Amino acid sequence: MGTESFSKGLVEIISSSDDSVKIEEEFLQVLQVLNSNTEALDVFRNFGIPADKKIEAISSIFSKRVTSMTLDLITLTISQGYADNLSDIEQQVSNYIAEKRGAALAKVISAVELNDSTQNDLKAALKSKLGRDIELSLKVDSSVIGGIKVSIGERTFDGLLSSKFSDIQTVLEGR
Amino acid sequence: MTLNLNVFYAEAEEAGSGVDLLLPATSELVAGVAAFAIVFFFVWKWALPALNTTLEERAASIEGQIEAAEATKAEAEATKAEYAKLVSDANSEVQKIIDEGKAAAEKVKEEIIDQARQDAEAIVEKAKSDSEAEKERLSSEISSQVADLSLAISQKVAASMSEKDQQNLIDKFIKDMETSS
Repeated sequence: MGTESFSKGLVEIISSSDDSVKIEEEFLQVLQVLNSNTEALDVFRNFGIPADKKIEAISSIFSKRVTSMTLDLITLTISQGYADNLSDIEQQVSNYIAEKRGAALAKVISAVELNDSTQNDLKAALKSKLGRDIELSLKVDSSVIGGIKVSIGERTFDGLLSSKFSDIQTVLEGR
Repeated sequence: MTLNLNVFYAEAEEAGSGVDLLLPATSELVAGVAAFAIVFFFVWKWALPALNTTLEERAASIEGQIEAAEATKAEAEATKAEYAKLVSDANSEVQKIIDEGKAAAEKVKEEIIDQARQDAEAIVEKAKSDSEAEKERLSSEISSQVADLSLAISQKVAASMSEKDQQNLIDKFIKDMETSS
């Protein structure tokens, strides 16, 4: 089964839950944590470590922090051999959930955390531009120096300072 | 001695005098004519034909020699003409060889000059190209250094941005996105 089909299945399971909003939030947060942790990713990508050991490690870390259903979804993902594709699954699940709610998912990268007011302004600006509701998937990365980058499907609005510096460098080197 | 003189005088008196002294005696004349006729006959009959034959043979021999000499002369002339032709041909051949040699030498000379010109042009071109490449490399290196320096300065400035500056940057981005088409 491809990651997209698996992600759709996960979304269906989450949607059928009575506490879908919380489970969705927890599930995506766990995936974000795992994706941002290089050591954890190395463990999951190591074929020498049996799947049950990986599940055991996940359980010991998150069992007291998330609901049992969220933990089950994570365990299912690992046991089905998608430990290498956690980033794709996070992205696809986010997209499908947003679509299910009739919204588009905007992946946002910024150097600093966006406060609620800024998030609302951004949603409003994107809605007026694209004509549909927007849900944000936020990521903070200090290496981008400053500014913000928004990706929705195939479209990207890049206002990162690191991108501008890269463009300037390309122009200067091209002279 | 006195006796012999006497005899002579006696005979002189008996012989007569005047014209008779000059004319031979008749018997002598007849004998002389007969002897002449006999001699003439022998000469006419045998000596003259033999002489004529000898002379004719001699003339024929001379004519033959002359003809032979003329033939030899003609042969010599022909040989000379042939030799002259051979010499002329040889001269032509030599001239042709010289001309060909000159042409070949000229061609080789032109090829050498042309090759030398091409080599010189290639050297000049390579020197130009090397110079251009070096110029390009230096320019690229300077551009890269300027770019790195500019980037380093910009990043340093950006890194010292306050939270307010960061927020302003994000707000401006959102505002620009709203106003852009």
